[in-house]
Amino acid sequence: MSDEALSELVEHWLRGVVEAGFVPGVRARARAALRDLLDELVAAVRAEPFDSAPGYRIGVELVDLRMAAPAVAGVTVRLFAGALPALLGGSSDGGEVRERVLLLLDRLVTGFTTAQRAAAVGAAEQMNRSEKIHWRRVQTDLQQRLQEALLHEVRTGLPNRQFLCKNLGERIAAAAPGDRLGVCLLSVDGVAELTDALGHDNGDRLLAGVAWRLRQVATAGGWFLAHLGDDEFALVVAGAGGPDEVVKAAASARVALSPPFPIDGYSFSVGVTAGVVDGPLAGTHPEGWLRDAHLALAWARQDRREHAVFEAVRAEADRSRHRLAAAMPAALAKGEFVPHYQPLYRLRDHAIVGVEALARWQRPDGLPALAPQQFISLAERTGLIRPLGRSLLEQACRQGAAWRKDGHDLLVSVNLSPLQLGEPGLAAEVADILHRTGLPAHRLQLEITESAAVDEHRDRLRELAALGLRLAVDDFGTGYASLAVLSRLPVTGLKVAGELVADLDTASPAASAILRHTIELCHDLGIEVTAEGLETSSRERLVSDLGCDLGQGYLFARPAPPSEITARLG
Amino acid sequence: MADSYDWVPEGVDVTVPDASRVYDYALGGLHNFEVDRDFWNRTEAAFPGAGLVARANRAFLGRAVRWLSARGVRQFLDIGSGIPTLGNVHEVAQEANPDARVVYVDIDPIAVEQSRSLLAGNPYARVIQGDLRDPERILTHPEVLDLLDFSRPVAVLTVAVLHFVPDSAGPGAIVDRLGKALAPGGYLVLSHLGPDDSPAGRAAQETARKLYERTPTPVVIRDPDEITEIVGDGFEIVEPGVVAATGWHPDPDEAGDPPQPTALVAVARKR
Repeated sequence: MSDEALSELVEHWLRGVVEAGFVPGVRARARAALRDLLDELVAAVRAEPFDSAPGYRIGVELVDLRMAAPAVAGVTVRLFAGALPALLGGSSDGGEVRERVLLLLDRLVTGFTTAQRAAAVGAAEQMNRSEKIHWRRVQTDLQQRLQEALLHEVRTGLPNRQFLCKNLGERIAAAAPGDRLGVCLLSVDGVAELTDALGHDNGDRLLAGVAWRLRQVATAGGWFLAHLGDDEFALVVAGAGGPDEVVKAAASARVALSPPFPIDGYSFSVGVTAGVVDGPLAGTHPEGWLRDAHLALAWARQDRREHAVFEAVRAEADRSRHRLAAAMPAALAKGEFVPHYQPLYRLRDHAIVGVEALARWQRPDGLPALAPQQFISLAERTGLIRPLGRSLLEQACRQGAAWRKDGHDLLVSVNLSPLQLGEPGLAAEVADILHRTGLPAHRLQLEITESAAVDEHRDRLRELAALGLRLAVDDFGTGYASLAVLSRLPVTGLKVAGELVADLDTASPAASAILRHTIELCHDLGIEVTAEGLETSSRERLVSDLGCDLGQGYLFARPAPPSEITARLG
Repeated sequence: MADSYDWVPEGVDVTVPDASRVYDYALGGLHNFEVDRDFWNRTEAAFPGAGLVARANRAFLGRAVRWLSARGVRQFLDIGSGIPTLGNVHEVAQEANPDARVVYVDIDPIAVEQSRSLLAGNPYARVIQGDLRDPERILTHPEVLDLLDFSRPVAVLTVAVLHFVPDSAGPGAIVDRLGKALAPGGYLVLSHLGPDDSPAGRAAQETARKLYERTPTPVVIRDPDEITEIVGDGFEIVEPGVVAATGWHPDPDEAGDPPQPTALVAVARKR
């Protein structure tokens, strides 16, 4: 067999393979590779003993050479089955060569298809894996972006409350003993107003402007800045040497925000209120820092100051007040609020002509009882004063009626909160209580604090006066100078505040002159004058000399439960 | 953070044929899905020579990279590389120069992922996801800048990809931008679908083109003049000009292959 004949066969083979599919690389290389394979095939035909295994290898090799198009197998088999037996020996061997060629080609096809199948399965697996990796990456990206979004304020892109807490948590975890931290909570006033007036877009624009300036401040100071939502921002001052440093951070923020913001053609100014907290870092809790800073911010607002620094003592007082406020509704329901009574003495003859009912909170479980100044303003803040006032009024009226039944015709004086005065149904309610308890209206006196509310609720006071009860202005001399009010309102009594009485002690001629004229004026208007807070007999003499009608105070008696009053009445 | 969130993941949709996977199948590759195979089978039914066009195009890529390697180009940026299974640029280039560097860019995330696993362990070949329509992003991609030195000659390959860029996306401006990034001695290699030379062939080609209209990557057929215009003044097209792939510096061995007038190619040198 000539080499030319084999070369020619390779040439045929190459043409068939190239027509069947794309073969990478230069043709010369493909030709050389095919020539090697053909030589291998020829050698296998001639080998003794005969083994068809090389056929399989050649099939695999074709696929490895990336001559893997399905048609390659057909091209190869057709070409060699037709040409090889004649080339390698003709018919001289009785068909042995032909037999061997066919066996080898059979194995070649098996090798080819096996390798092809392996490649296809491998590729499919690879595709599958690639797709999975891709989706996992998409998911991770999404998660990252979600995480980003969850940790940032949408409108300003600044770290949000969660991010701040995370950041604080990390600082706390890494804190060495003695490390300190400062947090400055900034409330930007005016954002809500701008949003209401000029819309959310402009509100957001203002916020973005505020955030931009605060960023510069934070970068310059090396502070961590967060946007807690709406108009609240926070600066974290690491290693603060004390509250002053944190207050300085607040001051720089205020300076940065002081130039007006141009919004929608307007020049818009904002104010800043700050709550400042600083202290040791180790062992604290992120939320604790924010809570304290919020509390300080609330104090600043309450006190109308630019900033307030958190103080543990004040916070504890606030907290116990809150606890007290929370306990009040249940206490009222359980009847823990009861009136004690302080006698009203007629100065002329020291006869007890009436009592002032004063609320007292009799707490269970051995807790000390509380005086009204410890809980009345709290009840006014929560609105509980309405049912509480009603309950005390009813109890006092019932007690007054009981004394009256026993022959003690006392004036029962009960305090009325400005909040109660605002209730439209107040007169009807009082009438109902009088009716149910059986106390005559003229034996009830309602004390109203001298305040703006008195003038505001003139109509309500007239309704009450129309019931026939008495109205007294309480704490005269501590609030509004409302002598004019006395002439406009159906007032029958005036109670001079203990402080004003105390002023008489200092031998102030002005105080006694004012009081004297007030008492004269009252008497001209038919108004009875009571001096409160009488503690010494010298004071009693003074007010008596000035013309006061009644007196009340520790000099005579402290507030006491009804049984003690009954005993005192004899 | 300022821009709005676009949380729709970039699409891999194995229910829609993808140009790179279709091309892989057309060359006899195995990295494709059924939808890609169906699509190609319909394309070949409409335009019977399509497989040969794809092969001629791929063969041109191999010759062009060898031609460039012989002229000392050792850096290649292959945009629209598809799935690098058969006749990869890095194999050809690194055979000539073992330290030749290749960055593959493809828009299809699966192709990119696939390439990444095929290239694992090759320090001089990388792959990134990118869009030819946004050349700036490709040219400033950290991986590209990491591997390719643009102060030395780089060949930018846009093989069988510019015909997916409609006129509205400004193919000329894209090529111009790519050219500006190249140092003297840099090259542009391109291949592009051209019109068939017989009316019957053009009709068949039109049927196939309409098939692509229903894919995410419709094709635009451009003639040599239009292709020359896209190449623009930034490059000088080397001999033999804009020609059929089979006619561009053919290996003597391939001289007998049937000519493929619809696979137009050109290699251009940075001016």
